[in-house]
Amino acid sequence: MFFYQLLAGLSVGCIYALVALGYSLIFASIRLLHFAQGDLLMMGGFFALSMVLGLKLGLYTGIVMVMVAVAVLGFFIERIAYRPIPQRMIAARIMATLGIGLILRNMAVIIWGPQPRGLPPQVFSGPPIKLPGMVIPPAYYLVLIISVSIMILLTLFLGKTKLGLAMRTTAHDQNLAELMGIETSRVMSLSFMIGAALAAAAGMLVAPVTFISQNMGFRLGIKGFAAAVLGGFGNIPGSMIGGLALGLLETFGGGFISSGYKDCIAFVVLILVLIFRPSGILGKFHVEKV
Amino acid sequence: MVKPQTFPMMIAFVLLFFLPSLSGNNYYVLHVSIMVGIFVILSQGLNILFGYAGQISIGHAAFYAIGAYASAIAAHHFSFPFALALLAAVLFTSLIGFLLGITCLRLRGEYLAITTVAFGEIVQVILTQWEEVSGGPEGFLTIPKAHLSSFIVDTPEKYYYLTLVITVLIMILTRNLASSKLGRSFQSVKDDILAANIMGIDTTRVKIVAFVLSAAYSGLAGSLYAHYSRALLPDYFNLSLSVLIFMMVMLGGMGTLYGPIVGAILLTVSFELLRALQVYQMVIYGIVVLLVTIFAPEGLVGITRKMFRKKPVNAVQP
Repeated sequence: MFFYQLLAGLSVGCIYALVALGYSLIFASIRLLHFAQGDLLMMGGFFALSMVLGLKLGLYTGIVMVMVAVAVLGFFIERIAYRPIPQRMIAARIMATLGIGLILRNMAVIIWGPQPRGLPPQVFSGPPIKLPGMVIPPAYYLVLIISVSIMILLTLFLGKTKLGLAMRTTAHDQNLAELMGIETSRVMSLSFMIGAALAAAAGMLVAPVTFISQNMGFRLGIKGFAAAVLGGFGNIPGSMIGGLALGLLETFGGGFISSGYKDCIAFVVLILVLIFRPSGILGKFHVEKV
Repeated sequence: MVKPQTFPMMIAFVLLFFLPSLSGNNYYVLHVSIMVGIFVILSQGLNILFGYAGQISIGHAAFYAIGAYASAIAAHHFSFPFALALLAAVLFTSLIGFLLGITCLRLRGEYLAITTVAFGEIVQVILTQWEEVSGGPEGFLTIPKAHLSSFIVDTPEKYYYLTLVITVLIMILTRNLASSKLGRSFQSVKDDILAANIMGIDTTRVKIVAFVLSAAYSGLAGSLYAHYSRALLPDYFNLSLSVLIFMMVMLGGMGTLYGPIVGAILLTVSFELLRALQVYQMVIYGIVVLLVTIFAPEGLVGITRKMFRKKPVNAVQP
């Protein structure tokens, strides 16, 4: 029992971690708290539905196609809606993300209909792993393997490639990056696209646990944000740890309180971390000085 | 001598006063007008916190809900008369606003926005789960009619006048508040908190006062809504409602006195007019919101004011 809960917590945590990574990446690169991240996740879920049921793609090609599709969508969203608003107008930028969320949610209803739908369970199929005394169903380990490999690829990309270095430089100091000859405009687009693709992957991987519906994004989005804050906002390894920690906390903490209040855990964690340790688990604390 | 600027206002007031007879006591027109009034109070409340004092909140449906449920509980369980239930709702919501204000003192910008979102969600989950108090997901359905001593506010027409009077009082209060010392200290906290501190403004106190006032307005609106609809469902007070209130303030023009009115009328009335378009309506909203934020980030009142403002005579032309 304990082992199954651990497994469930870890796989939910991985999904939170993917969403959290998306938030962190976008915030680090264009200083935008992307309220529509949950809606990009929802688009990922619906695209997955179309890829699997319509184009008859398998899990691995499907997830790559979903990520590419949402990344392209993200490119246009960022260029059309977010780029024209100056970075200092925080409220207007939040408003723009809310507007995009509204459009995406209702476009999804127009295209895919209002009923919640599920991916067929055969998508996440494979030989169940037999351990002494227990059997691990394929959905769990597939979610774990795919999300962990996405995170490893992302870490390698950011750490080892020239483009990753350009992204980190731009996130660190945009003016400096421009002086170094980096085309920050393109790099910022790319960062946003990767952030969108991460949300899309989470939207497909969450299918074994939840239905795909127009409102699936909101709760998952804010929980992913809580995970990002928990690990230190804008901090890549922190987001992964924060996601896993939140997933485990919810799974094990949910046993102590009634299941209706389980959703509150993430929100309470979010508020507590923002108040008592705004820099998160791994972040450094900055005090503004005159 | 009456100032010429007040003429449009007086005409509007006279029109509003005779609206029930002009519309022939049409139930639908009155219903929409009452909801507009409630939303004017609600978005004016957010305007104080967000427009004047610069503290973003996307969780105001929570204060609205707390006010509505507090009023309902006071009237049903403790059989308070309407006026007292309303006062109780305002006081209780202010207390919650005070607590949230203290909690959020260190947070700014996006971080404050997401914290208020989380606050709104927590309130909604509690309202859904705590069935003994809130009636749970089936709703709170036993709210008595509004009484003012022996006068029962039972028809939509009477409720319309009640809402109108309270809304006008709230507008006058807000106008005086905005031009008072407190209103200017809100402005200074919004513009530059560091400079405000140096000028000797107690910014901590100012922020908390903004939270309390904003919550009190929302609680008042909640109480009005509770006794008007006489049924409360936790699902109504969701994030979309908070976003709607935020949009009203942003579209109308944050930090302006009439912005929330413009926003509340625009969104409530157009919501009714475009109802036939169903899902497409929300897509159109999203696109309008985007266009306004990109081309007129100061809102509709802000942009009109900018257009009609005289250009300085000796401004250097580029």
